[in-house]
Amino acid sequence: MLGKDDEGVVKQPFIIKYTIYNLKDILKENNRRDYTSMNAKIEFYSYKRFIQKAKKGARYGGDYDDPCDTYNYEGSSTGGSSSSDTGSNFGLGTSSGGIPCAILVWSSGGEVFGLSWECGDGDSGLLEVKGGDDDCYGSGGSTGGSSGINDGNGPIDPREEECEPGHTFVDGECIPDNLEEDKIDSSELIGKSKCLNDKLNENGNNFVNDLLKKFKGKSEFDINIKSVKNVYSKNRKEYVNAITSYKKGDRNINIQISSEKISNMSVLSGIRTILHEYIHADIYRKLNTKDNQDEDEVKEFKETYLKYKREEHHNSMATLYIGSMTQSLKAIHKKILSREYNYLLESYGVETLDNIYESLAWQGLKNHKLDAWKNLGNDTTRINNTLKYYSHGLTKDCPK
Amino acid sequence: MIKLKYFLFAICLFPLLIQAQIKQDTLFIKYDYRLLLRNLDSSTKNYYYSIKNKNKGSEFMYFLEKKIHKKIETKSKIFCLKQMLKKSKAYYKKGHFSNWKLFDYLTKIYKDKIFIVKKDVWIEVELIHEVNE
Repeated sequence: MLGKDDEGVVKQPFIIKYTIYNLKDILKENNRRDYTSMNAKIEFYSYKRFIQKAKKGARYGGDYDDPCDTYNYEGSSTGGSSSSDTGSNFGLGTSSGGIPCAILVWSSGGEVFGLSWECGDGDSGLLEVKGGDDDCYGSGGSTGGSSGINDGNGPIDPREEECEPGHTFVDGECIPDNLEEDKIDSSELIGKSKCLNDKLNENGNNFVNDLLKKFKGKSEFDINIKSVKNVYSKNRKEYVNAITSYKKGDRNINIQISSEKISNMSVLSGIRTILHEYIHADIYRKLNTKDNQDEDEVKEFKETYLKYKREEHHNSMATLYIGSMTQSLKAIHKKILSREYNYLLESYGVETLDNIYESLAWQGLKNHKLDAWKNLGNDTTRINNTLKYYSHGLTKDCPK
Repeated sequence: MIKLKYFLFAICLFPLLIQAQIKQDTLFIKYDYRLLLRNLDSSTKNYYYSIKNKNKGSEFMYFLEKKIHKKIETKSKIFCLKQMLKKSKAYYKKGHFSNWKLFDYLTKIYKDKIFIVKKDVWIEVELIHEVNE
């Protein structure tokens, strides 16, 4: 929906959601509804956020919980000319701040084309619902007060006018209209994989947060992570836990997680699988970046990577990431499965517990005949034994 | 003396000129029956071309079939896959090559499209590298 305020200033497109509590009562004889008599909650949403969420498959209704503004409207058939096709009706309501407001709803043929309001704090205005190109991030429609009906974010930022054509002012900067959102798209993750991925994103330590941050915001690469029932390795000709792939020149790094395999894993092992794949994505980023190729971190990584003649990804991961993976697993275990963590700590002691995290970090690496694994010498026996004795007893259900 | 300067300048510039010529928009690779295998991905129902490799590790590089064209007129060079494998220095043992090294080599010599040329059929493909756990 597009709008203009009472001074003729165009407003951004926005979404209005009406929750009408007396839908039956407002139905007139000619089968049209008299919206001026409605008792309703009127919520204004940013169309950008709406579109972004719609792309991710959110349902309108339950999944859109961040209106720019909310007004409660209580229509009355006694005021105005609600019985005619065109007119206004008076209602009492409250603004999103809970301040009482007198609200006039202007309608024609049962269709609302404007709202005017006067609130207890002196805020008043009129919103004409037609023609415009704006949104709730931007300018407001208020005349008398600091915040109009569509003015969730205060006064106009003068920098907004500096945006070039084809750009929109969002959160303090001009964003190209055709710029896709930079992201880690996990909308196709389901069940346990989705739950574990959410836990990792919400409870990850600094290493995890820094790693994922590289793909968020204005990143050079995006990640698309999704669940697939069975993930098949073309090279090994067998089903595997997960695959990460990269197409030359692409912005997306794709991760497939086997929902079948992950359903039989412990929570820690499942989180380790997802983290392992995110590290593969980070390796692809470091190898293919143009923006950050001169950074020391990238140069040093490539130096290690190029030392290996085969299994470059896994050899580099074993050399450079094992310690961080071990610490990440420990931190997240403490946070999301504290009872299990405390039980293992009391029963076996801190050394065994640390062995468990280190051994889990090696899962997914140790079977690839890596130089780094061979270099561990006798430690390989300790790691294998730890996995053998302790990994099966770990919690399998993703915590709520 | 001036001639010598120009000569040295030309020598220095030569590798750069070669590099500029190598990085082309479209890469044509001759279909080599001894090296390439056409496979069907049963989950996506897409065909892809793999290169014979005794390295059965966790990494894999393949050409994903996008579109089959009739003969395309081009004056561009059609490359020999065997030669490219050699130049990439991907082989580390007889019959074993590093999927990444070949992928990396190929990505550096073309910008946009890649075709596998098989007599009168030109197969447009995409270059993909994947790693499994």
